[in-house]
Amino acid sequence: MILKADEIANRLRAKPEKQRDRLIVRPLPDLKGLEESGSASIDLRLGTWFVSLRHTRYPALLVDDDPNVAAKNATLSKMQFVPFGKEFIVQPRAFVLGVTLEWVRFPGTLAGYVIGKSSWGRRGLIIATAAGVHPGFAGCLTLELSNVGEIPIAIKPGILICQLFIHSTTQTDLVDKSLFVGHRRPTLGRIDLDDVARKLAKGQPL
Amino acid sequence: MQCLEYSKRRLGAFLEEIQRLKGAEFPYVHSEHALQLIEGWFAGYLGQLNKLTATSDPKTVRTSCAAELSGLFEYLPLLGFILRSTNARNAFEVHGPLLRLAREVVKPNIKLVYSSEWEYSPLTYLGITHLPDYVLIGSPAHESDNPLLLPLAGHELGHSVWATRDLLSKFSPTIEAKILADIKTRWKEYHALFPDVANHAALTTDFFAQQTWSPAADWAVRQSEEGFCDFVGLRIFGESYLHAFAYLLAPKSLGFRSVIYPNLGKRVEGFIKAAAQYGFTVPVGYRDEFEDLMSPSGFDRQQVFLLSLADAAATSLTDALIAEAKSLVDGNLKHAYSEAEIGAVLGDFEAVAPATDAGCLANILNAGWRAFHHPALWQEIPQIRSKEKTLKELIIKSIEVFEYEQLLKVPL
Repeated sequence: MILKADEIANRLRAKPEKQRDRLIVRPLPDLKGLEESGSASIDLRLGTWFVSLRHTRYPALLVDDDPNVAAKNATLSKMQFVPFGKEFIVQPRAFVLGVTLEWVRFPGTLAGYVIGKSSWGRRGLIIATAAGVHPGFAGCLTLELSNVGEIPIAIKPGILICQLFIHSTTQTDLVDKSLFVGHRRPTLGRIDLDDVARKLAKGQPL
Repeated sequence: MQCLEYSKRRLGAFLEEIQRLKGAEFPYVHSEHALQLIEGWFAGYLGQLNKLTATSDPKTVRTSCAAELSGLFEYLPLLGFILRSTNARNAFEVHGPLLRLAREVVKPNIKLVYSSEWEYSPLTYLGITHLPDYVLIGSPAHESDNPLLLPLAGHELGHSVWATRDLLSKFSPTIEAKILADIKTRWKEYHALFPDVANHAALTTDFFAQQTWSPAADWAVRQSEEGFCDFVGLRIFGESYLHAFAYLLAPKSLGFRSVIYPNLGKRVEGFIKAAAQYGFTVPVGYRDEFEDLMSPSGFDRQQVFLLSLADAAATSLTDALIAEAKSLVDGNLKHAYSEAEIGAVLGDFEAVAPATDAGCLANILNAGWRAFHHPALWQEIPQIRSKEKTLKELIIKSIEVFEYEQLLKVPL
């Protein structure tokens, strides 16, 4: 069941006995405005960090869980900080990672997903994928931003950039241990290979 | 005279480097403005050199070239420092809150360059003639994203406070009087080391006699300044300053002590004294975390004697410096840390959430250190792979939220 805005506001106000049962969004949004919005989501703002990909001597982004490969992949990306009051320009056809200003903490009973705001989409700026937020997640949400239009788009930290839909899940004590927890900056993240993928990656024996 | 031509060329190269640096992506304008100020001054100096010709007075030419060269020696490291203020390794989020703090305790129009250094000790550049309204604070490069060391910025701010309030003039006479009194008390010892000085009176009236003890006065002044800066850091940041200091310097390095700092043990005893007067608790066993460094290498008996005078003079000022730091910080700081607010921030950290309404930077950093030492923190959260990394992220995010809240208080 998707939580309506007034229920989200109630959850954000609540201080259950166990810390892990809290829904937290920081900075705290205007709860009164949220309650009165009548929507089924909460708007989130653009944060101050961006990652863009760049040309280097390495040929490609590689998919491997070898730490050396991860280090090479890191050189293919450039981290940038844009303070409040300054702009970041998303060039046409550019793909960059941004991050929400808000740090969110989900209890074990809630999950969510992030989608772009249509007002940005109409200008060509889309959030490329709907990022899922799993129960137990804590941190800022990485946003995959893409300008599919034909003119550059200037965005500023602090603008409302996306909306977070939240829904309840079945109660369980199991947590997803692969979650990326506790990041304030956008991250490429790891692509973990499971045993099947590792075996297949070796190809046929000679 | 070749030196004039060389001088113009190297100054031209320096200015070209500034041009290149101006192309960097500066998150904050103060770094950019600092570059412009340096550029303006050196461009002006190049203009003056260009007015000199083959027929100019050779002495004037040499003096002008020597001054230019000294300028390059002094300012080239600063260019590197300013460039590193753009490096994404830095925790840029701290800039706003640190600037607000500097404007409260140093002076309202101060500008800040917060950067990283390829030096182990956090540092500030002092007495930069052409950047008079700047405070420049650098943290060691490999720790430049570690907010737990931020309390040490209080020490660096202390240097700016010392300079802007001209505390040198205030405390120098006391230091000199103490040194002269001690020489009098230890006259036999002194006279054996400096037999050419005939009597006490000569210590203040005879130029050569003054030179025998002036190094002790210089060292004591520098030690007093460093002590004062520690007390400013302790007054602003409380217990978190102690932890940051220990993280960086305990138990000691294997080198020799510096004459411009009290020896490590004495320095830490000063912290403990200040903590008692400032009303916060020193962690159990804190003094024992540290050892004195070795005495300076190659000192002769005269220098050893002078250093003992300097140490005694600086130590005698401890109470006055603790009081001075308290008075200056309390008179200017808008929001001091409090136990209640630290507790609230720590509660947020326990919930893996950044703090809201933290009140001040010191509350966040004190809560950060308490979380760092909290043995059971997040043990029940298996997704947190590195407590230390997550904590750093939370602290920096809290600092950003704090800045966000400050910005929202300003009316449109």
